[in-house]
Amino acid sequence: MWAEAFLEQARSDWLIWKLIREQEVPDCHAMHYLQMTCEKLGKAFLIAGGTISPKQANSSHIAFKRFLQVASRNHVLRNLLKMTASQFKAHVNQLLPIAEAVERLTPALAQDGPNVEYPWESPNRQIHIPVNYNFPVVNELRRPPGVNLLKIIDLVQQQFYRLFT
Amino acid sequence: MTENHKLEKAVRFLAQDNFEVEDGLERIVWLRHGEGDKIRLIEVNRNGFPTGRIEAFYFAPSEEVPFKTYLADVTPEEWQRILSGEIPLPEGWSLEGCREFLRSEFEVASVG
Repeated sequence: MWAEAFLEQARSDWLIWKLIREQEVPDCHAMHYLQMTCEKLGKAFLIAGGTISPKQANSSHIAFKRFLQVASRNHVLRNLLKMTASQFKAHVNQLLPIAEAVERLTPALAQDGPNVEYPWESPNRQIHIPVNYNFPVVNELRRPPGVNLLKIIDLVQQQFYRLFT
Repeated sequence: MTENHKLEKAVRFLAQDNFEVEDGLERIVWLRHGEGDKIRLIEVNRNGFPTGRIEAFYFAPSEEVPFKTYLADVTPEEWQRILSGEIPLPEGWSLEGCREFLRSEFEVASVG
């Protein structure tokens, strides 16, 4: 029940990401929704695993990247993508750094650095504002590994019940 | 073939496959207590992300592994903390009667 609740919220965040990314607005807004999609999906997967509570999931970090890392051993997902073990492992390895970069856009993990919500100060005392900042991961999402990450985020939402029930 | 044999065969298949896929896996611990229709694995992974607790992901049954599977990656340091009791096992999990698979037991062709 809790896993489905996190999934539903992730799906709504994903919908808003898709709407906003087409608009002429600063990247931080769309990236905020993508980061929240990954965060809630990762937590939904962890809760489905049954060893941690929803409350514990809230304090869990980088859960989506960790899910991807373990998912390279998941036969259902591998079969859905019609890949061999080696193909799927190579595929997932390309996605891991981008997934982590997206998840670290939350202020809680940004360590006083670039994040999508609040201004921060760089070591040279310059103040940065999310709405004016060029997030490198935005460009990475336009390249094939980034596009593949977005495809797998979409796929695991669509196939959630096949994968996790 | 009995259900226990089917389960053991699936676990061995999974262990072989996981050692091949994940280079960082040092050992796989199969927790054999409880219901016989589930596979619970703790995988000790040098490439794991330390969380200080056991966080398992669920895999639905597949053609290759027709059992519900719960898989938790832990780092080697976390595994030592689990053995010492510093990191508790999730409710309903137990190391009693567990079986360990080491990479050296399998002929592993790395795919990573």
